[in-house]
Amino acid sequence: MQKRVLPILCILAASLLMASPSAQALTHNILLIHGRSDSSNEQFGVFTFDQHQYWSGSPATADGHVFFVQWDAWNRTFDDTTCPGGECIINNAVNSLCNVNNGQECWIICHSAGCAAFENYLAKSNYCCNPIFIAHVMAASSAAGGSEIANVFSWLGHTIDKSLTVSYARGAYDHNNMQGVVVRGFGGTFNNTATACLFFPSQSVTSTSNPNCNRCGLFGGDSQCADGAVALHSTCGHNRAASFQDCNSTLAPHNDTAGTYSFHGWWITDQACNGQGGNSCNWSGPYSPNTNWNPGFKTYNVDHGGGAVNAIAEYSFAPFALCP
Amino acid sequence: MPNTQKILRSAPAGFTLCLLFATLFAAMGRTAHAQAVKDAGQSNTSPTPLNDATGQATIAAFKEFTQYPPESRPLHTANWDLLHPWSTDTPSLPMIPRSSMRQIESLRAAGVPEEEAWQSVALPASLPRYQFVMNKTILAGTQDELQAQLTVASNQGAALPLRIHVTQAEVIGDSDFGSPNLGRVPFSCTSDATVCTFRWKAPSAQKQFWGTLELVVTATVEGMAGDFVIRQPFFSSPMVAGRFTGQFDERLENGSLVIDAGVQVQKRMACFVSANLFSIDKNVPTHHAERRMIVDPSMKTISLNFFGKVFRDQGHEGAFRLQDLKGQCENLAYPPEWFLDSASHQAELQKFQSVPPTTQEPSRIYFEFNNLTYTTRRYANGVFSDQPWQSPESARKLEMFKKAAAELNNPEMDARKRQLQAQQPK
Repeated sequence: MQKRVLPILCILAASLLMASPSAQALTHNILLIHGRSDSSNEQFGVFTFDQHQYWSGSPATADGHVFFVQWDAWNRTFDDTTCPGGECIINNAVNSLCNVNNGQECWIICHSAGCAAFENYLAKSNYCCNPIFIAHVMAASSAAGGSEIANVFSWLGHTIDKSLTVSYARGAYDHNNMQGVVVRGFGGTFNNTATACLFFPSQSVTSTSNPNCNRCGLFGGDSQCADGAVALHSTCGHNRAASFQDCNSTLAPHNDTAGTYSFHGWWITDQACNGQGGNSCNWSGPYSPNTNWNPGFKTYNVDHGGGAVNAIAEYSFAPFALCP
Repeated sequence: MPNTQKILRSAPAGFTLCLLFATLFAAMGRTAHAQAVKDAGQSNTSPTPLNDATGQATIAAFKEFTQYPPESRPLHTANWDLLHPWSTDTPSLPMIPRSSMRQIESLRAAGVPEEEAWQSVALPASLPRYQFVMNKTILAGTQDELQAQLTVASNQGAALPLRIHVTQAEVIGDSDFGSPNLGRVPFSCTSDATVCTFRWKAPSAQKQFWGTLELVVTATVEGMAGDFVIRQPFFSSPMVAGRFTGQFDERLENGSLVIDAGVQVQKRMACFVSANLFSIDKNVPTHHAERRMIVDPSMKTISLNFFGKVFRDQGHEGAFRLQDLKGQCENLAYPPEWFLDSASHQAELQKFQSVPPTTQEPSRIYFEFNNLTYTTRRYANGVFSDQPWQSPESARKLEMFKKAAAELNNPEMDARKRQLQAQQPK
């Protein structure tokens, strides 16, 4: 256990030093929270390097500090309040690294079950009125709304899987209660597994269907949008576990009435150009090359892992004002 | 890019479960190398619209949130989840033959790695699909009954309902307690055998009936060889943290409507106590109240605040109906104060974490389920306050956000970031 706690204490000490009172500027900390993964060789806590070797790289930052938040996303549930469960590890990390009283501000990049763990933490916190300071959340391939695959196989899987069923993930916390923190999702639509049409919700193909989604059914008459592990209802923060073709937004001035959780939207281009890119848009992401962004549907034509790759790339290529 | 449809069509008739495994254990697992994609992104910079993710937008979002208190939010018909606090949608899923499942289990028992075990098993080309339509997915107390309606449909063309013959139905307990078999589940089927309904409630408040349970049904399907085992998870909290008594009192306080709900609390816990308010005149939802609080056996009431500005902003007046009362509590191994204010109790929490509990338990305990409603007096819209929520803490945070946003407006650092970007692999 000492091995697990030590990294947290060291990071805490280091971050406090970095945020000494003499420093005028806020320290920018970037927290990467991983998803479901075999934790056999993982150490738990906060690390300045990717000890778990989960991520495809580290985000480029001009003045920030990157931290890898490692929880047991194999033998614990995302809402477990005892360490190394998701809620406990994230709570420790945020308290240590995102406290404005210590001169810290955080950017969160989460992937898959890591997003369920972070949202659960946030929804159950009193963020509005405590010193925790979070700029925004980049939710890549979020499993916060659960996965139908976990419904079928949770009994064969690991402890994490029982918390990733649709009913558990959606019932664990109030997904609307993001306390004013903006959560922007990377919803993936590329699913090249042979089981692509098996697990996720689908709907009849129409002229407005997302062309990047799988065509399923006997004559390809159904459209099914998922990234191979999670459907758009989860990755886009929809408040029903149904078939969706796109991401929507409840971030002002948007007010999606098709059912998106409050304070959830897509990463990142927005209303000024309605996602069509270029034209009169000013801040029109995505910023990195090769994201396979589908502007009309606010989705990315990438698989489950591709969401994490895109999030890292987007942080790296976004302007300093957005992602320092 | 690989053509998914082509892959699907060219898949052998008995396509294997190996990619099921790849899906579950690889796609969702360790990241993550996306498929190579060819597309052009763009990289523009200029002024900031309201809803981007810059510091200004962070401020705007926080301002929007804090115009109402966290414990009293506007509620709309689009908030399906909040309007159905005990339910989630249940998916339609493929039925995997029991024989395939047995093969997997025996291979794994023989020490075959999971990946290889899945790769060894073949499935029929077309699988029927099942769906449990649930009256609820969270049970709270021993009187709360699960009703799960099972239908099975073909996966060919129009999804026709198939006749099913249920041979066994049982509930399996949470893995935290060793996944015990909790006994058979009574059921009945329609005369044409296309719909079967299963009913279950926790027979006692014992721990074995607590947590993530699974309704497990063994059935045969007309026209299909062999039998199938299908599963539907749900959460059960047979022991309860408390109950709502059905006693209510109402008052206006600082321009907001406050309803005191009578409670009997059994244990001191950190809880999220919530309820919805509806306009009776308009028959629309108005507020979602959600208290984050410690409940205690000494408590007789819990006050729910329905913020005045929400009434004013939405033009609500007349009589209102309170419903959907729910108490969801954290099953903590440490004092609830530490959970509610973890920053102030960081030292205690870290000391506790150095000697964590040796056993795991489900994370949630609920207040007993209820169907209580309460109708208020009539109110004119003008009696409610139109003032935004005031909180010194959130005001301080907002000031800090402004400072943070100003710091981000730094051309020198922006140039440095651009230099870094030039070094990034494209």
